[in-house]
Parts: sequence; structure tokens; C-alpha cells
Amino acid sequence: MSDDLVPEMHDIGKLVDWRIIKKTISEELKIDDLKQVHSHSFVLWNTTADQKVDYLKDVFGVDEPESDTWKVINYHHVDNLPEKLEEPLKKDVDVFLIRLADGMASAISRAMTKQEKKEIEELVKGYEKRSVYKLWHPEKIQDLNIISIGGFPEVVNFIHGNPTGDEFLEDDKKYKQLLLARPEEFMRSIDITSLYTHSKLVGKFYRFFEGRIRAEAPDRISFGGNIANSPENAESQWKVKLIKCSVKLTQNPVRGSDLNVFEKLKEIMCEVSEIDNVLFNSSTEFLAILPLYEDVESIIKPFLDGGFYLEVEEAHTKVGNIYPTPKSIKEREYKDLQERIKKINSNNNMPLERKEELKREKEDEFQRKFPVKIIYSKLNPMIDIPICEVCQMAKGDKEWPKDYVLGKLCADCKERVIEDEWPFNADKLCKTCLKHIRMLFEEFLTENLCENCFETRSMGHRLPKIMRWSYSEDNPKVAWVKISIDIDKLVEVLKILYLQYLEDLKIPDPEKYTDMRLSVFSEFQWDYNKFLSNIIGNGFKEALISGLNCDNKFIKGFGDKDVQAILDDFFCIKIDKTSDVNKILKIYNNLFTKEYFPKFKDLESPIKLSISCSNIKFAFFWHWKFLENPQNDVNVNLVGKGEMHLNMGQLDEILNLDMRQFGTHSLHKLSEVSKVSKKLSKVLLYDKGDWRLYREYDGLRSLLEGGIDFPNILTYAKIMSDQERGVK
Amino acid sequence: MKFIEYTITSDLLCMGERIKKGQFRPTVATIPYSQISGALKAVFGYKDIHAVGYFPFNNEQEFRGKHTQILTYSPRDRAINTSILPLYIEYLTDVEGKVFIAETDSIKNKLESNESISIYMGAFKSKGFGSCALKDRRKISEEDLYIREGTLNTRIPIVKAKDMNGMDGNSYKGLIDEGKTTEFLKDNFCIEKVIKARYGYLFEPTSKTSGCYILSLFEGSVVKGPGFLLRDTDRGDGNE
Repeated sequence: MSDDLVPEMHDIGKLVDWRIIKKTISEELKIDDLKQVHSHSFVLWNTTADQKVDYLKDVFGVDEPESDTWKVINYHHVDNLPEKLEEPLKKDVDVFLIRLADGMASAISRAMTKQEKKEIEELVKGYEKRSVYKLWHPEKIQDLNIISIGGFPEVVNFIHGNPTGDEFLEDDKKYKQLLLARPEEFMRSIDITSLYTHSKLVGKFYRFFEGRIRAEAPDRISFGGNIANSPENAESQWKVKLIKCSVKLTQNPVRGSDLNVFEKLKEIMCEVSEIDNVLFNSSTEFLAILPLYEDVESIIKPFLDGGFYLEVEEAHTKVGNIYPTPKSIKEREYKDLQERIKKINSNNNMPLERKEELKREKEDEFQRKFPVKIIYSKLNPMIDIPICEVCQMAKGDKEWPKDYVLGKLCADCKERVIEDEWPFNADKLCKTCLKHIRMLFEEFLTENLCENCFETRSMGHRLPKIMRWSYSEDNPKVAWVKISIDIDKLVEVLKILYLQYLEDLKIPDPEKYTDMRLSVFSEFQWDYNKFLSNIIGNGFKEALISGLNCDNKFIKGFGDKDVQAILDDFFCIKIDKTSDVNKILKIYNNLFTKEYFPKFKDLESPIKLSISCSNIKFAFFWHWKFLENPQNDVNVNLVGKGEMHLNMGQLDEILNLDMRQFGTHSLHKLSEVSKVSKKLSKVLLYDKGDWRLYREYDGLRSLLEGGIDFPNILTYAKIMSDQERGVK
Repeated sequence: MKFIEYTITSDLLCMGERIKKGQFRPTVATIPYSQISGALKAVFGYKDIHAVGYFPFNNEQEFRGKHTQILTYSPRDRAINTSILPLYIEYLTDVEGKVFIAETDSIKNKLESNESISIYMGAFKSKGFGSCALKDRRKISEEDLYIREGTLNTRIPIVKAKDMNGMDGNSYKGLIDEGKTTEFLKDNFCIEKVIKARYGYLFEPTSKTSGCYILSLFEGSVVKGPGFLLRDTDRGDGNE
């Protein structure tokens, strides 16, 4: 194994238009029997002379690189290699690992045999080469400028310069855009992931194994005590565990400064997502791969130290059976278990008791492979009073704000008040100290906090806008907005969309090929992150610094001063009136259905939007309970007034409602009547007593008849009841 | 172990989770061991009483939407004749649930009658909250326990404070972390093993003026125990 090997670059040859390159070399060197050792290798073979063709210097004037990266670029496909090369490469550990990682990072499972692949290729070859087919947005086609003669020497020189993986993948001026647009495979039906995603994953998988394998002999590689002699053999012999971790707060934040816990979460998640084991992440969940012998705590420790707890699902399986989530692996392997049980049942020579015993053994063995646990940092079996008032999971040793203030005072002041009860007598403090802690003097209540919650609160004002709004006497209205992703639902939805794609291509038996791999997930993550950054990524200031345009729709819509980002998918907007929620819904709907995920609109979306509104001083943890558990694709909670839960189709219907049809008071009236009786407000929709009002409610009645529940319509009416009314 | 099941009804119930900055008191949507056992002890005296309960629902948010209200209450400081701080109290209205009392020797005779029992449970009893009626008494015999795996519907401590005296409490937690159970859970609630523990703390009074918090299994834990304590759980293999 080599230190300088950059696995991400193994497929750089796919960026080159080899048809033209080969033609040029053939003409220049006058060699007819020119063969590439594999479809994207830089090594060309003269089949007549049975020797390598040295064309780089003669045709392009560049030197041939000599690194290990160059080796794996050229030889990571060992099928049909010239005999001279085959033997030594078969025993090369670097090539072994790249081939293994390459297979694991491919778009779909190995269910497709070479013969089937050939047949499908025949079937779809009429289609032109195009950019990646995004299952969630097929119409989005990117420019694809494959490198031709002009750019070829630069590619070789780039490899020669031994760049890092990041320099290859992340440099916008180099190959990043091409890598993003170029599918891993051009063949229609498996062109669903980009070369960028594939290369990144190969890098992760390669490094995951690199530090953990042992070469027992040149062709015997051991991982976790299991030996394999080829990458195909490793897929069935080596075992790993895939884990899905959901990070949960022990805290129930109430105050603005307790929201610092999200800042902590963001920092830790950012750090953890950089680890090679981590394959997919959102702001609160991640998927990672571990060897069977490694404890899950090795990866989640930073979260535990930060005071979080985690729900962990594991799947212990063979390397070749790694599918996107533990649940999807469990579902697949459950089918195998049923087959085995069926075999036991059909064995007529076995006594019934033995059959039952065997079945139980198989069941238990199966369940042991899929443990589900909740992992906490150290918990005491018993806590003496007082318990921490924020998390209720540890002793409340610290007094807020007394202990915090004592930490800020000079030695003299501290000595004077250390024995006093809070609030301290201001006369005992010097002017400088008093200035530092003036704001805290408004707090006359004492809270008992544990070390961890005390530290989080002491972090200061990490979310300055929220702090400003909290201290404002206006007690402004705010909307807490959270976008979440259901990873298990994502697997289901992508499977459905992939099946639709295969059916459109008229592939026979499409169900056979729908077991997609992690790379489709990673491909999705790229678009999902872009979607989030379009919502609340870089603020105006960051955009100015980076020189990019600020394309954050919410900041554009509400103004930078009224939007506070908390996590990548969680933010707070100061709103003037509840009808501003409609503006949030419109921005979201536009981005979601038009720019990013139009195909999710007709299915149950794995991406959920939750909005919870109240004035800023309302206890945050009540909002969090709502935001954390979305019931439908779009969820809105008006504290004390009602909730609305819609799917994306219904959201479209509601947003298409022409608000100009409503007069000055019709929505307000509906909202007020519902305070007395919800049933009465429903009757009001159909009451022909006031003909004018009856006409104004036409739109709401049609929503009701279209299948949207009355409570949802009523909540929408309440949202809109304070809008500036249009003139009919 | 036998149990006695009652239907519990209440018009106003506030089983406070905690007080935040002295201002917020959310209510729980289940009936923890500490609440119901404490309320029964207030009626029957300090006996060996072990009880739990829950409100049957499929969706907690829906249940909360239907049955929770918020009361803003401002206690008056008589000394300075002003109300200083409003309290936001979340409470349950018109709820009906189930309560299960372990049939121990000390309580057995008291629960012989079919008459309804009136208890006061939770917070703000002096303000009219917490009045509950236990009725429709039904015995659950050992044959009716239907021991199975499922998701716990209530909150139960893993051990009693008195059992921890002089012992390392971590050994009890260790048992659960190994997927086993504790003596307390087994003897009083027939919980045979804890597959996934969702922890929290329940208060246990140790004298009239003091108490401590005990590590407890909260709703959402997965255990092997009597069917009446459980709701169905997703096995995650695509099989109901």
C-alpha cells in the first residue's frame, strides 16, 4: 500500500474522449492494432507486437507519471489484460483494494450479470451520451464537455503533479464540474450517479480498508480475521457493520442561549461527516461503516461528550451486501431467512422438535445481526436533588446565573459576594464587573444546571438575532423552520423512481435490478445539500466574502436581518404576521417542485418541511417536539390555534388558491367562529344565508371537496386571516 | 405475578415533566410509576404498591392535539401584593387510560371491591387538577400476561432507592445494558429483558421532605414483558 495513492482519481480516464485520442495516436504512430488495456486506461497496447505503446512523449510531449495512482488508474480492471501484465497485478494490494472499493461504490448491485448488461446495452444503445440521470429530477441536464485532444496533455500533467483527492474533486477550475456532470457509466439504466460521487466514495472505502487490512501473503489479504484472495472473494468473506445514528438532544431548550446546543451539534456533525467511515449525513443523522470488531462508540464519542444521546441501528453483513440503510439490509436478509426456514419446514426427515429448535436458532441469530440501541454518555443510577432543570439527566450542581457571574467577576468582587444569595447586591461590585454582567441582573430566578447544560449556556450569544428578538419588548412573532429527511423513506422512494426509469427504458424484469447501492444516496446528498444551501446556506456577508451571488431564497425573501440560521436545515424567521407563513410555503414549494425534486411531488416525500409559529418568548422545546416529528410532507403549527399537515400535491392546491377572492373579513370570521366551535365554522362554509360570504368561500369548499381535511383548511384560514386583504 | 387493571378517567390532569426557569410545566402523555404509585399510596397508606398506566393512542401528537390545553397562571405574592411571573401549565383534559396495579400481599385486600376508587394525581391539586376515578376493575392472571417483545408504554424505575443502599447502582444499569432485566422489573412487572433502553429519571420520595431521582425506563424502550404494558413495535424487517 502506498501513502501517495489517491484513490479518488482511479477513474480520471473516464473524463477523456478516448475514441479521438486513440484515433490520433493510431494515425501519428501508424499503429493499426492499438488496444486500450481497459476502456478508460491510459495504457495502450500494440497487440501485434504484444507490447506497450509509449505515446505520451511522442504524440503529446508529456512525461509518463510513475506514481501508484497512475498504476491504479491504468490497471484497476484486470479482465482481459495482456498476459504479461496480468500476474503481478493480480497480487497487487493497491489494485485489490481499488477494485473492491470500486465495486462497493457502484450505482447498482451486482445483480446484473455481464450477459444481462450486454443485453441491456443492446436495448438502450440508441440513446445519446448525456449527463447524469437524476432520479428525482430527470429533466435536469448539465453540460458535458468530455476532454479531447486539447485538454489531454493537461490531464496527464495533472496526474504527474501528484495532486490530493480534494484538489482533484473540489477545484471548480479543474475537473469538478465535469465530474459532477459525467455519469459513472454512460449506459442508460445505470447512469444514475456521477463520477464525482463514485470517486468520492471509492476514496472513502479505500481508506476504510487500507488501515485495517493485513497482507498475509501476496494474494491473501486479511480483514477482521477473514482472508480473501480476490475482491470478489472479499465481498463474500469480509464482514462489516453499517450503522445509522440519529442524534438526539437530552436538553429541552427553553431560552435563546440554550439553543447553543445546536451550535455544538453543528460543529460535531461537521467534524464527524469528514471521517471516511461516514457515508451520508444530515444535520441530525448519519450512516457509517465499521468493521465488525470495532465498537460504535469509536465514532459517536464526540456526540456523547457533547451531551447528546444517540439511537443506533446496526446491520452486520458481508461487504458485498452493503445497501444504503440497516433497514434495507435487514429486509433483504429477512427474505433469505424465510427461505432457510422454508427449507427446514420442508425437511420430512427431521423431527418436529428439532425443526422448532433450528428455526428459533436461525431467528435469534438473525436478530443478533441487527441490534438497535440507544447510547447515552455516563448515566448515574441515582441522582440526589436538585436535578438539572434543562436536561433532567444529571445532577444540577451549578447555579445559574450565580456561578456564571462569579466566573466573570474580578477576584475582589468575587470574594465579597461568593457567600451571598443571587441576585448579588450591586453596591458590592466594582464598576467594571457591574458593566460586564448588567444584563444578568434582570434574572432574579436561579436555575440548577448540570455541568454540560451550564457550559452550553455559558457559550454566550451564538445566535445573536434570536437573542436580540428575545430581549426585545415587542415580543415579535417568529416561525421556526425545520427541513428533515427520512432516510428509510428515501430508500423506498428512490427504488420506486428507479423502477419507473427502468420501465420507461423497457428493460425486461426491471424489479431484478432495483437494489441500489450507497452511491445513489451520496448522489442525492449532493443535490440535497445544494437545495439546503439555496434555502439557508451562505448569508449575504459570506456571499460577499466568497464573491458568489447570494442565492438564498429565504434571506432574499425576508431580509438578512430577519433570518437566523441555526443548523443547515433549521432556521428561525422573524415575521410580521402569520400570513408570512404563506410566503415561506411558496418559496419552499417553488424550490422543491420546480428546481430540485419534482419527482418527489407525486410520492410521499422523504424530505419534510415543518414550521412552528408563536411569539419568540414561547418555550422552544414545545416547538422542537413538533419540528422533530413531521407527520406529512408539509407541517405547520400555529401555537394555540391549530396544525396543518399536507402532502406536496395538497400544498400546491392550497397555494394556488386565489386569495383575491376573499373579502375583508371572511377568513378572520371563519377563524373567530372556530374558537367557539370548529363544527360551526365548517357549517359557515356551506351557509348560504350570506350569499356574498358563501361565494367567497368557494375556493375553500373546493379544497375540502378535493380531499383536504377541514382542520387543515381551517388552520390555513387562520394563517391567512391577518393578511392585507386584496380588493375583490 | 397477578395484576389488577382499572380504567382511569380524569377531567383535568397535569403530570408535570419539570419546571423550566420556574415558568413552563409540560405534561407527560403517559402515567408514570412514580405518579400513580404515589397517588395510590396517598389513599391506601405507605404500602408496597407498584402501579403503572398509560393513555391508549396511536399517535402522540394527535392525542396531545385533542387532549392538551395550556393554562397561563400567575401566582400572587401576598407579601408584596403582586403577581410576578406567569406560569404556562400544560394539562390534559377529558382523558381515559389504563392503570395496572401489581397484586402484592399488602394491597390485595384493599382492592377486592368492585367500587370505583377516587385518587388525586399530579400537580396543582390545590387548584382543582388531578382528580381521577379508577373503575371497571379487572383481574389479570398469570396466564393472561401474554409475555412478548414490544415498545413500553409507560415509565418504570429500574430499581428502588432502598435497594441501592450500600450497593453499586451501576450493576443494575449494567444488567440492562447487557439486555437483561433487574430484580425490581422482573418481580413487580414481569419484564424479562430490556432490548432497548430509553432512559430518564423518576422522582422517588425517600422521606416526607426529601427524595432522589432514580434511573428509569421511559416510554419507547423495547422490552420483553406483559402485553398490557406494550404497544406494537416495528421489527424493521418489513414484517408487521
